[in-house]
Amino acid sequence: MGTSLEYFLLSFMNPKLMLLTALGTLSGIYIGAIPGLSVTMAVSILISFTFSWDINPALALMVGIYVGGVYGGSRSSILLNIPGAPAAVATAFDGYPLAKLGEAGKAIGLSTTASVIGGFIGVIILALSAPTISEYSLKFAPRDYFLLAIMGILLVGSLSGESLAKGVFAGALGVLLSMVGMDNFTGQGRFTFGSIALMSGIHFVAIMIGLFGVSEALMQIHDLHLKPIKQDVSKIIPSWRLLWKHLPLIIKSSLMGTGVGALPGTGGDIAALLAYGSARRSVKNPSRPFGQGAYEGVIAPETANNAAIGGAYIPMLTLGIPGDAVTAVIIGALFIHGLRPGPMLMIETPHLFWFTVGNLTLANIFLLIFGLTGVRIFAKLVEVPKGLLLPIIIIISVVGTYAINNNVADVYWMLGFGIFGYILKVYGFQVGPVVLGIILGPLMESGFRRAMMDVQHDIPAFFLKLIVNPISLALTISILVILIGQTDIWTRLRARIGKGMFKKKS
Amino acid sequence: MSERQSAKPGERQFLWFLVALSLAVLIYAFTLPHGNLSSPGFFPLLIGTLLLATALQILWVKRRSRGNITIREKLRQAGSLVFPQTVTIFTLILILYILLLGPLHFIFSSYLFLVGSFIFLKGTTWPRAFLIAALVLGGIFLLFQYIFKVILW
Repeated sequence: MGTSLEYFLLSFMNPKLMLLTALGTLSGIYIGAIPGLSVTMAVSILISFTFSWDINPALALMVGIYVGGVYGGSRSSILLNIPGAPAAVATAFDGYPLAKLGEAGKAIGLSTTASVIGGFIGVIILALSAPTISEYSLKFAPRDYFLLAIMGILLVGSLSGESLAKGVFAGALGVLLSMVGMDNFTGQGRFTFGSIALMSGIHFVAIMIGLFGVSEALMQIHDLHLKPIKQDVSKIIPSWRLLWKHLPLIIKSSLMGTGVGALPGTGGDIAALLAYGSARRSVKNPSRPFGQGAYEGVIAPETANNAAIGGAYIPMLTLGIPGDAVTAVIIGALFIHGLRPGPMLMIETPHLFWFTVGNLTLANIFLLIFGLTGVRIFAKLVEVPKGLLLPIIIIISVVGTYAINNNVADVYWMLGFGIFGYILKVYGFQVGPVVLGIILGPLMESGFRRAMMDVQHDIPAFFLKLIVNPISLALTISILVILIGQTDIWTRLRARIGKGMFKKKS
Repeated sequence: MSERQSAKPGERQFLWFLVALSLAVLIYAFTLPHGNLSSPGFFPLLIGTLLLATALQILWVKRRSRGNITIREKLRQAGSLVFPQTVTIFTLILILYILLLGPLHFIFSSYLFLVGSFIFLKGTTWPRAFLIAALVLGGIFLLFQYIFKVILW
């Protein structure tokens, strides 16, 4: 316990780590707030720069950017009606109307405090649940990891895009990209087309920077000259009375956010939208009607999206399954530093877990400080013309990609995936599932192959194990529910149940 | 799930490209050893099949025709959706920049790219573009060379 506490307090005691967390949180707020810059993009680029660093400083910076970035998106949602990040889409529904009513400052203050409380609740749940889940996950068989990986891709596919098929296609594309190079089991070259350069695969950081950096920069050119509206940001700190009044909503949204964040493949964006929808349905007397500047419409999504951060770390640290796109990238960073997230990480390197928990706590403290100060300067900075911002994003993406291997070939891959990712986005495909597929691909394949070896390639025996084993059964049922939830059967069933209830009432 | 939806301009052509890509993956996967369920070629076969099935499903959903439009008009509409003039020119500048990275090295090619892009995207005026590009590049150079220890070539 003493050692755990020491590691928890490490970033509080070490000035360098504290400074990096503060720097990360501050830059995260700006990165999240500036439309066109995303947290995933920033963390992906950052991996390549922190190759040579120790793991703790690298993680401190990334955690700061993650926490600050998820919150930062709300600022441009409120001030400009342009969500700086997907997690802030729901915040714009009531945040911007509040700004139009001259209450931008109050909205920012509320979003900051709600985010910080949500963040703390998420971290507490992470600290309490992860050790137990990790212990339990030692009982997971290879087939369970295979099922979990499928579940992650299906969830992200079904919840983040316009259709399940597009999400699954994008996820499968990621799995395919993860297979390029030598097979880990046999050394057989796959999808290398005889090229020696491809035997080591395509570096996932180059793909990620292309998909998140270059493609997003190209997308942003579509609305290059969108003029922001100036806002009044005087009164920031919300009253205790207002916070106390909304405490039940904050706690409810935090629990919802952490739960959604903990599901493999889902993140703050989905958590925020679900919490907003739930608040809209459940809050009886909102301060104003939803969509016209209700405080509850800012509090619910902002609490949930920051609570989802703690949630997203649960499957990442205990099972090695990313909770969302950013944790997928952070898993990549851990791999690069020679660590393997999963149940063994908690046993072999428990200090890393407690360091992360402490670091997330510290980042939330900095979030409160930076969130309630410097809003005036901030309001000016988010108005940087995209014509200046986008070329700078490209340059940083190029440097980041080159830094992976000091090789221009990686930059070519980044460019190719950037343009391809852009076309995918134009036609409604999400790039998040591609990255998730790249990270989950090796886990899914090795899980499948080991499971097949376990049953000596006997398919009926494999299916029998899915029913007989309780963990496998629970995961199989979850996958079936996700799949059925996307079909006409579910829609018809819901309609029939609804009709039945209506008949009973009448 | 299979309700017909009208496709965006050029979407069906792009989906056909994805179908062809998936088919190519599947054919390639067949050339890999796939004797048993844990052999190196079996999982690529599964993924290839999944890619093909989902690509065909999306294509099926998007089967509704957008009326009687000539190929020329279709191409024009697809072009203005995916590659409007600004995106096309910026993409070409970007490709040129990446190609020049080798021969001109990072600093010089990046400076040209920044100045050209600032002016083209109307981010700032001509004289300011030269100045801001120099400042940005100086900042990037100092930050990455000395703090992140990235050797810029």
